[in-house]
This record gives sequence, C-alpha cells and structure tokens, in this order.
Amino acid sequence: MSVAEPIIAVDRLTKTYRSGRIGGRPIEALRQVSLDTRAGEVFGLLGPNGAGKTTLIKILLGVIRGSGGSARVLSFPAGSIAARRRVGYLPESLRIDRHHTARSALQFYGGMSGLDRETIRIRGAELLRLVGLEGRDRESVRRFSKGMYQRLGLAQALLHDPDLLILDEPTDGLDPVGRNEVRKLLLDLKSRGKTIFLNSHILQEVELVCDRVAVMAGGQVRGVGTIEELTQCLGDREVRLDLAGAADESRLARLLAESLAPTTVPLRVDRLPGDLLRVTVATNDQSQIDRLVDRVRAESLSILSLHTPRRSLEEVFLMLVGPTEEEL
Amino acid sequence: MIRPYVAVVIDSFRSAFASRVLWVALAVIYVFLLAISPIGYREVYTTTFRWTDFANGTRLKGMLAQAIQETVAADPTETRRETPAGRIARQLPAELQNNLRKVAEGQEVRIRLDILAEGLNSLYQLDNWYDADVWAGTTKLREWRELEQQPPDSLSEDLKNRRDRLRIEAALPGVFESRGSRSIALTYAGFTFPAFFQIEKSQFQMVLNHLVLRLIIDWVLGFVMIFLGILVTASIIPDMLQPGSLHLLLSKPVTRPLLFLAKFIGGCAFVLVCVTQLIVGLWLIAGFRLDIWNHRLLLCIPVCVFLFSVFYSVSAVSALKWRSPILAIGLANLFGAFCLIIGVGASLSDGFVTERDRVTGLTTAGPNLIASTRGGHLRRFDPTTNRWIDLFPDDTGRSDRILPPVTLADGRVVTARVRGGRLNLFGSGATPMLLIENDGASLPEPTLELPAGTRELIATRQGDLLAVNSGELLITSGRELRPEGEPASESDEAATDGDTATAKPSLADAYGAWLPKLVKLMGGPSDGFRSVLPRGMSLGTPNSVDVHPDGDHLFVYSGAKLIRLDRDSPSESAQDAWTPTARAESDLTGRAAWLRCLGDAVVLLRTEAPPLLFNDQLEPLDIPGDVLRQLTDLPISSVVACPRADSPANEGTVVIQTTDGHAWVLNRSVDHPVALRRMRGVSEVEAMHWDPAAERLWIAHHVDRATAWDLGSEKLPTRITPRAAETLRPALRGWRLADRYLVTPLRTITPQTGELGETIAAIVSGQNSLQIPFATAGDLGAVQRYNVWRPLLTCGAFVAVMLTLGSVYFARTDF
Repeated sequence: MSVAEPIIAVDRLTKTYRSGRIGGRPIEALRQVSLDTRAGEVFGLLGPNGAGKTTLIKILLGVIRGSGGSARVLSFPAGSIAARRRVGYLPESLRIDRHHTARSALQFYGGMSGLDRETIRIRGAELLRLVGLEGRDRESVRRFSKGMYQRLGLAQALLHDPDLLILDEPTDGLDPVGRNEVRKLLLDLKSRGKTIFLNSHILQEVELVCDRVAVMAGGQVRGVGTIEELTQCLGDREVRLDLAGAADESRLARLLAESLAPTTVPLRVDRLPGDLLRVTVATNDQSQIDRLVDRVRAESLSILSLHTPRRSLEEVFLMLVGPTEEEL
Repeated sequence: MIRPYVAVVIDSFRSAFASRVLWVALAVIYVFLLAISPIGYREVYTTTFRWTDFANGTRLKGMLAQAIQETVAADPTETRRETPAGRIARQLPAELQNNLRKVAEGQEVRIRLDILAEGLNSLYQLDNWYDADVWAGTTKLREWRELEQQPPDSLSEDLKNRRDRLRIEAALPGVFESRGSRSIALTYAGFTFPAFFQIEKSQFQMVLNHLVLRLIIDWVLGFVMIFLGILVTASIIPDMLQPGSLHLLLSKPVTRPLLFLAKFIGGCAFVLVCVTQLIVGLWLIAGFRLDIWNHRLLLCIPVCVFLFSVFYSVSAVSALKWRSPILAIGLANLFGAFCLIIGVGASLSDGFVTERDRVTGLTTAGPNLIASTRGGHLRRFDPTTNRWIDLFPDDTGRSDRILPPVTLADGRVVTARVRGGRLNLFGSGATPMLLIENDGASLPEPTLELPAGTRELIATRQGDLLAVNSGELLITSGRELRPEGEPASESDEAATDGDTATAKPSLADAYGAWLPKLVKLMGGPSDGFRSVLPRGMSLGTPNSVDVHPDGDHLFVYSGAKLIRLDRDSPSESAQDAWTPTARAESDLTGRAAWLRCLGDAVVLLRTEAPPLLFNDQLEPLDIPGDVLRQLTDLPISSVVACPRADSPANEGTVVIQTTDGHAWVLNRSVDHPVALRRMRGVSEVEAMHWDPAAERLWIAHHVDRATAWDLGSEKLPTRITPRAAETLRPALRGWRLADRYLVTPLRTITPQTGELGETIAAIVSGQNSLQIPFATAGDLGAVQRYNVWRPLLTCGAFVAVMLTLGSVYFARTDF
C-alpha cells in the first residue's frame, strides 16, 4: 500500500436488500456512497438510525456484500481475509459467550485472529491493564457490567495489533469516566499511528476525537470533511449587522442590495426593539461585506456589531440529515 | 491457517465443560460405571448342566426313556442289561422318571429341558450311579481318563462334579453340545450371582461383544446421549448468529463454510466428552474385571459421535435457517422419527419379504436348478419365465424347514419338509422325504420317512443317500427311494427279501411297539435306513461327515474323534456294512466342524479353532502357517467339496462359505500342500452346490440369484481362476418388486442410523456377522450379517449433504 493510498476507500457503493416477500419493494440501504479514510486518522461516521452506517461497516467487514460500487480496506477488497486479518472490530452490541472469563475470551478471539497462545498471553495482559480490567481476568463475564463488557470488547479488538480499528459505538453504556478513558485510549491509539473508523451517536465525542467526519442519511453521504470544513461550509454563510440610526427598513434594504450588485444575495432588514435595525446577509464574501459596511456608513448609520455566527456540529448534523429537496 | 478454526473447536469444548447438563450426564455415567464395576468372574470347571447344553433334547429324552423301559422290561438283576443310561435314569428324581416312563409307553409327555438338566445335576449329590464296568464301553475323553487316574480323595468337589459330568456325557452320547472343561461364573463384588449359571468364556465374550455392549451403546449412547446432546447443542448455531457474536466472528480472518464446520465439529464436543467417559469406563471395567481387553471397543467412540453428527447436522442446518433452538430440536427429533420409521419398514421388508426368498440349499437335477429357501419354499428355476417356481402347491408355514435338497447319482432330487422344523430340529410328527424326478417338471412326491432330527442329506456316487442327524449317521440305497405306492422292481424286491431274510429279528418283535418308536424318537434308524456307525458309537457335537468321491470310504468327525469307515465288499456281508479302518483324535474345540475330502486327504475345518489336515489313513499332515492362521480366523458357515473326475488323487478343492457372505477356495496339490484364496467377485453368498456332472460350482447369492462358476481349466491348484459361466437373475414380483424399487431407494437415501448398532457390534466383535447362538437346532444357517458399511455410507453421505447445504447457505446469506 502506498503512503497516499487510503486505508478505507469506498467508491459509489450501493447495497440493496431484496424484500423477503414476492413483489415486495427492494430497500436501498446504501446509495452511491463514496468516502475514504486516511492512514493515522480518526474517522467518524455520523447519521441517524437507518442512515446506512451499520450496513457500510458490515460491508467493510465482509459480513454482507455490496450490490454495486467498490470498497477496499487496507488496499484489499473489503471483507477479504487479508483485510480482516488487519482489522480490529468492536461491535455495537457485543456478545461474549457466558462461559468465558476475560482471559479465556481473549484466548478465543486471539486464536480466531491467528495468534499463538504465548502472544495472546502477553498481549492480553497488557490490554487488560490498558482497558482497566487488570485483576479481573479470571472473573466470569456473567458478572461484568456493560462498561466492563465494552472494555473487554475493545481489548479483543486490539489484541492482534490491527492497523485499522472499526469501533461501533465504543462508549455505549459507559459512564462519563469510562467514556473519558475510552476517548483517551482512542487518542493514544491515534498517536501510535492506528487508523480508527468510529461510528458513534455521541456528537461531542466525535467532535473531540475525530479528524474527519462523514454524515450519512438515507443511505447517502451528506457531507464529509473535518469538523471545521463542515461547520464552515454549512454554518458561516451569514453576516449579521446591528445598526443604530434612523432609516427606513425597505429603503435601506434596497440601498444595500444595490451596493452588492451585480450579485444577488439574500438580504433582510429587521427592526429590533430600541430603534435598532438588524441586517442579515447570506454571504461570506469579504468584498461584499466591505461594500455593505461602506454603504451603511454612507447612510450615517452606526454599526453596533458585526457578527458572523458559527454553528455547532449538532446544527450542521441536523441540517445535513434533514430531508433533501429530492426527498421533499 | 487452521488456528482460527481450532480456536472455535477448543472453545466448543470449553463451552461443553461449562454446561451443567454435561456434568449431570457425567455424574449419571459415573454412577452407572460404578454400579457395574463390581461385576467380575471366577473360573470354574464346567459342571452344572443347563438347557442350552443339550444339542439334542429329544434324543436325551428318548435315551433315558428307553433306559427306564429296558429296566422295567428286563430283569434288573441281569447285569448284561445294565447300561450307563439305565443307571443314570434310575437315579433321576421320581417325577422325572414317571414322565420318562410315560414317554416310553408312547404317551405325549412334554418334559422341559431345564427339568432334564436339573435331573442330571441332582446326580452330583449321589454316588451310587456310576459303575466302571457298566461304563467300560463308552468313549473316554482324555480329561476324563486323567481324572479317573487320580485318587478320588485328592479331587476337589468341583473336580468330582466335573468327573461326574464327563461320565454322564459319555453315558448319553450325541446329546450334548461340546463344552470346554472350564467355564466362568459371574460375580458381583466377589459374590456369585444369585441365579448361578456357568458360561464358557468364549460364549461370554460373544454375548458381551455382540449383545451386551451393543445394547448399552445402542440405548445409552444411541438414544439417551444423542437426545441429550441435541438438547444441549441446539442453541450453539442460533447463539452464533446473534448480531453481536456473528459480526465479531465474521470480522476475524475466517471463511464462513469452515467457521460453520468448526462450529459443527465443536457441537459434537459434548457427545464426544460423554461418550469417551462411558466407553473408556466400559473398556477399563471389561479389562480389569473380566480380563477382556478389547481395544476395538474404543473405536465405538468415533462411531457414536458420528451417529450424533447425523442428527446434529439436521439440527445445525435448521438452526442456521430459522435461528431457533426449539425448532432445531423439533426437526432433529422429527428426522429421528422418520429414520426410525424407514428403518422399521425396511426391517419388516427384510423379514417378511426378502428373508423368505433367501436360498438355503441348492442343487442341480439335469438342467434344472432346485433350491430351498428360508421361508420354507422348495423351488425350481424356470429359465423360460426367468422365475423361481414353487414346487409345493400349498403355502408352507414360516416355521417349516426345508432340508437342503441333494441330487442322487441317478439325477433325482431328495429333500424333506420338516413341519415346525425351524424351531425344533425334529419337527412335529413323521416327515416323509420328498423325491423330485430329474425331468424337473414333476412335483415332489413323498417317499421313505426321514430319520428324525436329520440335519443334512449326502448323496454318494454309488447312488446311496446318507442322513446325518444329531446322533446317527444313516444310509439308504437309492433304489429304496421311490414314490409311495409305487411297486418295487423285481430286483429291488429280491434285494429287499434278501435283506429281510438275513436281518436280525425286528425290534418290534423283541420289545413290542414302544422300542422302535423310541429309537425313531432318538433319531435312530427308521424304515429303509441303516446305521453306518460302529456299534456303540453315536455322533457327538460338533460333527461332520464326508464321502470319498469313490463312494467306498466315509470320514466321520464326532466330538473329538475322527474315524474312517470303509464299505465292506458285498461278499463279506450280505448287508451294506461299514468297518472302521482308521482313527484319529483331536482336541475338542469349536462349536461347528466341516470335514471334507481334499483329493486323497481330509481337511477338518472348525470354528474358533485351527484346521487339521490328514491323509486318507488319518495321519496328520502339515498346513502352511499362513493358511493355518487364515483358516483359523475365517468365520466359516459351510464348506463344499469340489471333486473333479480328471484330477489326480493328490489334488483337490473345497470352497468355503463364510458368514459374511464371501467364498474362499482351498486347494491342495503336490506342489502346494494347501493354498487359500478368496473368490473375487463373489459376495452375499447364500448357499453353494458342486455339480459333479458339469464340474461347476453353483453359488446362490444376493437372496435368490445364482451363478455357476468354472473353477479354472488349468491344472489345479497351481492357480485357481474362477470364472462366472452363467448367472441367473430371477425377475422380481409383488413385494420383492416393492422392496427393490421403493424400500431399497428409501433406505439408501435415508441415513440408516439404526444399523449403526450393527457397525458397533462388528467393530466390538471384530466380525462381520454373527452365527446366531442357540439357533443351530432347527436353523443351521441362521447368521446375522452385519451391514457395516451401508449405515456408514448412508449416514456419511447424509451428513456431507447437510453440511454442504449449511455451508453454502451460510456463505451466501447476508446476516
């Protein structure tokens, strides 16, 4: 794999589930999904329930096959044994057989990853310490809390030292302290050069640890980029000026629009309590903003504040996962 | 890279050991093993009589009745009338004596064999019945002679009883089965079983290997353990298919088919653990407590797990499809019920359809092939219709026995239908022999009365007919065999008159009507038959007779004795008489024996004992070690001598039929003392017949087919190359057709799990067949052939198909 080659490369991937009934409508779980994950980054996958996130992860792991397009993991076809050999996975609702202890579970999953007993023993001890299960390795998993279960799942995902970690809701069921520990662990892994593909509902967590994020909805990728890029792209398109001075709202709106000509930009003037005016312009073009300010000053109006409001990831998320024009 | 799959299998063991059901099952197994572990045995002398010791209960009854009647009829003080049987009879319990007296008077009195056995056992408590002078004329075995030589006071109670038993056996020849001098008595925790019985170690091993272990394995492992196993393992696949579990497993570097197979193999872990404990426990108990170290028993472990795998494959595939343990259990049980129904149906078809047509005897009459069947039919093969034609117009009862037909020198065929003869060698009532003319189209016509208890008829080249029953060897001339009511020819009349003129006064004249009746009852000479054996000799068990091809020498093996009888020349005796000219003695082993002429030599083949070879003067000859070993291990069921007219005197061939349905050729020449080869292309042998006229060996096989074999034209026995000359495949009708085209295909596609019990019996016993014990009286060929491979193949194919289906489904389905 070359340095530039992405760890996960998904190109126009589609997945259509056939209806079990004769004549039933097929369900398109993924529609032309394209994204890539680069080496060493923490990539977050966001989306509401039914967005197609789990379907995408299943295809990456080879649990199901795509209907069209392509997906490659670590330069191998997604789901191939060569790819799976280098992937660590923590499922959302991890289920470890009840006859296991933490130690025997690691022996089992390590064995399934092709590790020998000695390696499992050494790595297992390290990882149990890392996930905070040291000293409880001989305890039956029946007695484990949800958090301990998740931590054990994380340990098994890391046991064979994978190049790519696919984590499906890793902090699900953990208390704030536990979440913090997992977060630290992810950052630690990232610092060690591991690539992490994180599927999470917790936006704050994604915001804190992910380098890049993809937002999915309705089987499509609605947006991909860094948090900055996403919020900039979707949240910084508006300039808000609060003005003091006597002016007619409609006249002012006409004058300001003329100042921005020939570009037509959505512009609105509202009267605020206290004889104030608020001008809202949907632009992030600095020259337009400069002309707007010049025109306001020419009308002898005082600029009380000039504000470019920044949207949160949640707002961006909600905006992105809302219905598209096509869906409307 | 198999490590991931090994991890799955190991995890299954871990899972099995974590199961409470497993520990309960193991606890039950250990309780069972603990319960049977005190079973042991001690070796004792064979003393006590049991009903199974009687080879010929009717003869025993007749001999004792005759002895009592003679005592009454004659002067008791007349010492020349004293016989060993008489002295024994007089000491029997009074009630038994009364019943025997009624038998002697011709009344129909039923005396159970166990009553007779008890009566004989009561003699051990008495010391006034034995008289060395009276026993002087009896045959003394080496063991008895050695015991007699020891001072009576030095003998232990057991040895005294053993000596008494040998005296009783000598007094009543032709009555008892051959038994070894040592038996075993079962004990429990050192105490002899309350119901005391003795059994020979070989018999005990046979019962243990063929019946007891099979029963335990069939029921405990084949039923309980498998049901339990299905209950426990039904959730393995549905559990694996849970999203949190399956997605994690599939994210590992494994292929789905192999993951499914690994889970399947792992599912068998539960049964493997339980079965291993039980079988190893049984093996140790049999070894330490009974001195039977049967390592083959351990092979039952994989067979039992294999049996489980058949049902588990249904459960696993059902679970894969529907992800419900309850549905998987239900379908596995339904499948078990289906297999059971097919198995029972197939068994019924075997018993009521196929088995009845199975050929038990075969002979040729000119161009015609005549056969007797196990269902009591006598049939002629009709080449025009390609069918067997029944020669009895009426249907025969299932309990009737058809004596294997033989062809006389003049081409006529003789046989007999013994009413009720399958259950009782003697049948019920008088049995006329049946004569079939050599035109092949005639129906059988009754002729002379068959000597009671006849097991085998032998035709000689001189036209005589020998009848071998349990105690006597009788002969009649072919000219006396004519249909009832047909007048004898003048020459026959003259011959008969001559015989009558020189014959001793009849028994009826001397003793009244009761004695001839008793003699017949005992299997003695009947009308038209004369005894061949020297005075005072009767056939013991095992026994066998063969006639030298020249027809003038007879070789008789009886008990441990071998005797050659030569026919006196007509000038020496007016009556057809036979004189012993050579004798030999062997060790008394084996349940059955076959004595056959091999050119100018005689070979004695025995079950569970090495063969012996003699020259025509009964001097022992060597058998090469490899042939000796092969013959010793061969499970013989019958032997046919194949004399050829142009063979030199020192060459000969016999063909051996084994209980597993194969045929072996044993031949002898100057260059090769004896050589043994298996006949290629021969299987499922039912009966054999040597056609001396055509010099062909007819083999009935696969129920009722028949093939004629040329035993090679090159000089014998350099190389025997049998060649099938003619094969008869009779057309099927009625139920046989249904059996072939409905039952057999169903049986083929359905895994025959029930028959795996036979595979286990074959593995444990090391034999492919079982000579059914205690069936030798009426059903000489009662052999159960184990279907060792059919269940393995049907079950193996079924498991393979199910696993392939499961693997494909698992690999192609999105979860």
